[in-house]
Amino acid sequence: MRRNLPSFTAALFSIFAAFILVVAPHLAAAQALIFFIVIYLAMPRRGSTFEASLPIRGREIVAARVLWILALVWLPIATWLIATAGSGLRVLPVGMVLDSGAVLTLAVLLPCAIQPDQVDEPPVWLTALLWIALAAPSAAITWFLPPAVSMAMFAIAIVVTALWIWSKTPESLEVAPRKAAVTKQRNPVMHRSPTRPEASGSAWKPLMLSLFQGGETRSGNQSYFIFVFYVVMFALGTANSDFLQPLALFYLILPLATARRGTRWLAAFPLSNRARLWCVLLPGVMLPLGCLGLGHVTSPMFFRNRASMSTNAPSGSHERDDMTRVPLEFWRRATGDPVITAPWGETAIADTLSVLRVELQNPYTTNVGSSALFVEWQFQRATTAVYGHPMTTAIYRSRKAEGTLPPNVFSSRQMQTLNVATVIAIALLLAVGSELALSHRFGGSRAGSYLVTVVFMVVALAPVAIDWMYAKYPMSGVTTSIAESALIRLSAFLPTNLAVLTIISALPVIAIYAMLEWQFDRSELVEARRSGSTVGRFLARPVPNFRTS
Amino acid sequence: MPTTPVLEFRDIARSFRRGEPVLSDVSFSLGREEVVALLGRNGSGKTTLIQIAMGMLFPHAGTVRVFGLSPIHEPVAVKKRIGYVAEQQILPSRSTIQDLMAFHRYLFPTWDVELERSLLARFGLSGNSSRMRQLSKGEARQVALICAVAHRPELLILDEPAGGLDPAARREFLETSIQLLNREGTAILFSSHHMGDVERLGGRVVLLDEGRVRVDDDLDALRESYCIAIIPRYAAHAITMIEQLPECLKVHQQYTDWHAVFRGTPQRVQALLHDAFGLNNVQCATVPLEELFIELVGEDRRAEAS
Amino acid sequence: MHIAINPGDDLPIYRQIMRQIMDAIAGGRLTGGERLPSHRELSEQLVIAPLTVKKSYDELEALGYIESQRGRGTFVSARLPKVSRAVRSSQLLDAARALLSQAYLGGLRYSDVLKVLADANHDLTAEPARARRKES
Repeated sequence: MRRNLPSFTAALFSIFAAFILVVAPHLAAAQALIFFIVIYLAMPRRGSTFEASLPIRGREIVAARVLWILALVWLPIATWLIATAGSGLRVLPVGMVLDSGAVLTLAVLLPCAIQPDQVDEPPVWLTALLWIALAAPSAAITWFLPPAVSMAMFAIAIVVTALWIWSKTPESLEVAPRKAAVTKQRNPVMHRSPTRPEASGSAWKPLMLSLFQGGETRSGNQSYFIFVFYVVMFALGTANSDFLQPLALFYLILPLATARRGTRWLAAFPLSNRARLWCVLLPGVMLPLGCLGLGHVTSPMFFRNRASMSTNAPSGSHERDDMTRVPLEFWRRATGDPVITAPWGETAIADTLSVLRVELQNPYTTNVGSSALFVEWQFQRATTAVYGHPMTTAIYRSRKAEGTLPPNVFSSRQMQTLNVATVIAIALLLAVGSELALSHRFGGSRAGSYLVTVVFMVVALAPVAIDWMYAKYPMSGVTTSIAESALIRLSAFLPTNLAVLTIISALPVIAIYAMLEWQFDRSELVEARRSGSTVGRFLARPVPNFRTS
Repeated sequence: MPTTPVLEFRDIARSFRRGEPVLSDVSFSLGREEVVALLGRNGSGKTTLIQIAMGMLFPHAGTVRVFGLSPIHEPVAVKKRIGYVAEQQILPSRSTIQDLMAFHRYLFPTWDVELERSLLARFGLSGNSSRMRQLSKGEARQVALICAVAHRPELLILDEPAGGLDPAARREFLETSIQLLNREGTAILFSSHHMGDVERLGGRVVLLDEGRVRVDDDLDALRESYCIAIIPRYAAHAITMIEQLPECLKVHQQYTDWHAVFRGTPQRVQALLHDAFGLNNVQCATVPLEELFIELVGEDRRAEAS
Repeated sequence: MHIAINPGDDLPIYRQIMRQIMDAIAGGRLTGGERLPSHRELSEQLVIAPLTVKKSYDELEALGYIESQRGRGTFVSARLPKVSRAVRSSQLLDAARALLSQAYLGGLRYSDVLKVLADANHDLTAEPARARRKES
């Protein structure tokens, strides 16, 4: 079919989505994002100028393109249906998944219904408006109505839209009449009286605009998509209680790449390398991280105060009392027998869990037959670890009922500072990794650049993959837990003075930033035309100035 | 006293795939008020060379110096004094012309607002508040030219600037460049396929063929001191020896004859061929630049089998 | 005077300028002492490089047709160079042979060639008369 770059990437993402849907169905955020990307990539326009010039009916061009996208959307869903058909292990209700598929189909079809006689799709703001208008009612329909009814409603909507598009699309599609119309409007401006003082432009506008434009295409309709990534980051921030999220950090790659494309044109200007680096970092790393943090901060506070100690706590291997389950961050490495001995000699068998071939145990486990004293003792130890000070079970229960539980250890200023520093450090490392692929040392060989990119992607994906492996345990991500427990241990060694802590944690960040600057000095514009291989062109990501098919 | 050349390439080599060099051993320099036309087939490395001069690409071997500085290590100092227009240039499509000018004004300390105004007026763009994406190709290129020229650069780099422009726009482009040359002593490095423009701008011609400098000579010398000799069929045995002559630049087959490009006047070449190989009255002629270009970089043409 | 150049011509641009100036001098359209445009003026007028103009002026000056006076400009020589009549005649003979052979190959006769010569003479010399009439 179309061997162009966005379709190729879209297909990749579609397969990726199928994989996720089957393996880790509860990572809803990931799925939604991926579907979104699939649609974005596959839908630049109804057809290209090239296609419009071929002896094919306009309807067929549009139909071909739309069907291609729908295939990409339904492939993961179909895969999931088939894969989980026999096992009965459907975490998500079938009806909801099918409804989502139907909503996505509508999302794809509706923009095609606007101005169906033109090759270009409607402007981004209009499409966004459509999708927002679609989101609320479809969510309501999916939630409140039984699956059969909602499916029927969606099916009717889909059929009506499809028929409308089919009937309205003419034999041949028009190419860019809008642009010509706008140009004619502009010309009268030139005849305005010359006595009006020339509007001196604002120097910052070209720069600011381009920071958020994902590169230049003549139709300009892929612009400002970076704001979608910001919204997604914000959503990921609210949805998850952990600030350190491997998935969010992985998705940083997308705004980073977009920002880099959007600021390519600055290469010919007398800007220092540092200025150009910040033109990429600001929209590509800092702002998405800011949105993530904003989401995290605004996620409703009452969740925190109502969440019990055992939220996100994995259950281990033994029957035990519910009260002393703690999140994975507080588990310890198992040494020898998983037996906990109280000072007066009572023993209990600890919960164990195997993560990445390391045996972990919950040092606060209580068994079913444990005495009340033992339970109380363990409980106080557990609350000391989680909240920083001991609480009796009675106090804990009453506070939980009132919703006035204290914030856990991770909410302390020190831990938050460490978390922020870690996130920024990882984000900058990601940037270093992606700059590495553009290093001038690879100028002679695309293979080297490709290799670096693959390695870097694998490393960035590793935490996400690990999380999936252990996704069957209902708990927060494994890698996040590992990272947080490491940070807790680290904080024990660091001074508690906030200012000093900030400075110390800023040091590695500054070091990584210096590495980034060094690498950025050595990366170069890579021209896509030279490479004949598809892979080479994939890496170089051409930014066409004029419309190409 | 030798002055620093404005632009200097020394033994530049660059490849994009292992074993396929795009540029090898490219050396030439450009002084103040000099004009160099970079000619070559598409894909012969012209744009690569220009991007190396702009510091956008790193050479794999050799050095490039602009105003005596390295464009990679001192990009700001170098780019402030260069004006750059390229056919595939990307200018932000949503900014208006005024905003773009203001942006340039901010970045280039030598920006001359009067010159900007007069150029805008000359191209009929003053008061035009459209965005870049709404302009036609010619108008957009004119804006790019104003951006490149209004800060009175010491070096003007033009990478196929007139590609796809109508003749009037092309002429205006040339006029502006020549005015800059006259009034500021700007050096001009340009690559073009339009021989008329190359002839008008004059100066030196550097011809790249498969990444190597084939010819580096004055334009008028090319017209008068290079000629094509048509070696008849009966003398085909001498072809390999003719190729070895130092004055011979290239020999290739054109249907039934062989064409040899020589550096030398027709009379001299005739005499040379007579003395060396006993060939009498070989047809030699000077040719226009476009023909010379085609002879030097064109492919062999065999007669089609009947 | 009006100079027109054609970049694609067989002749290099500087030679085209030289020829046109020499033609103008020959035809009386440029008189001795008349001022020629400066390098820069002519280069901007014709949209060609100033060095090309300079080259043609230098060549003309070497041949003695024009002279440049420091600070004042370039002028047509008051006294045209004296080339020996013999040299000039032999140059003309070659040109005449070429002209006649071209005519005879085209089927023209001697009388036709004479008519062509008269027309050319008219072109070369007629303009100054018209120009002077306009000025007065």
